[in-house]
Amino acid sequence: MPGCAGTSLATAFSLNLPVRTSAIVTRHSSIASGRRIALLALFLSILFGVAGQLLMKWAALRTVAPKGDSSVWSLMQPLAFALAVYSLGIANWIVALRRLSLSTAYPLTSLNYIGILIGSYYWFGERITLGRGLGVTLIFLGVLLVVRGARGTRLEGSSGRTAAAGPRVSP
Amino acid sequence: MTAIAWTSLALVVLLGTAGQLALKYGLRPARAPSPTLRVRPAILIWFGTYVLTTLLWIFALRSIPLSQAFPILGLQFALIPLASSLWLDEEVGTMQWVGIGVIVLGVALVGST
Repeated sequence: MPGCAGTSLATAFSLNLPVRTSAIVTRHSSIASGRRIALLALFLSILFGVAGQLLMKWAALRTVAPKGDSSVWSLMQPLAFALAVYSLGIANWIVALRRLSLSTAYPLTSLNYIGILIGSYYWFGERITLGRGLGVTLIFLGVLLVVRGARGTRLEGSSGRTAAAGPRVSP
Repeated sequence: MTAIAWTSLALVVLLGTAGQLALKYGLRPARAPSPTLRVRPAILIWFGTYVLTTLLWIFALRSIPLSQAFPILGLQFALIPLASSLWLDEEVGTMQWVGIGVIVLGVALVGST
């Protein structure tokens, strides 16, 4: 889960949700504002995604001895909160993807990595080593290559709608 | 304790990959339109893996730093194209293979530090 739902849901929805193209075509100004809204949704999806992951870490840490309480109920409440925040990220991702192309939206979700590195340093006192920073950079570059490579071959045409449905490590 | 946490992180990655494959398989076009709304078993499998990986993920986070565990999830970006070329007959181009290699390298680096 941590990661995969966004695109899958977006994929499932994009197959079925009709985008009101007629309204978009007739009013040029609505294209611009629609794009602004989509970008805002993308930003929010990143924000909620990072917050959700940090809250999940917080929920997990609360169960750790000696201070923690490892009973199921003590986990449920913070976990439900974390998942609720996380799913706001997924919802915003779906809204963003309806207007933006995946090759535009996806690279921006790498901000997730940066947010999580900073957040886990700030709130959980984790060490951000050179290796971790370098590794994250490599993963990001690799994802770019995979997405770009997929664009020419499978994003076009009618069968291409679900092609880029990789996992989303972000919201 | 740590070994169990790392095992569950590995399971999150593997089950997550399996779940995406199941979802994609479950979303394939129907041969004949059906008048009744019916959820395919493959989609239920995806949902099951989703619930299970969430729990395993929380368990892994109890002892693995988030700044280490989260980037490792990125391994799925490599595994899913790999698996879909193997089992879903999807085409994976040269550039994608290079990308997959780079991701594996990055995950190895994050995992070892």
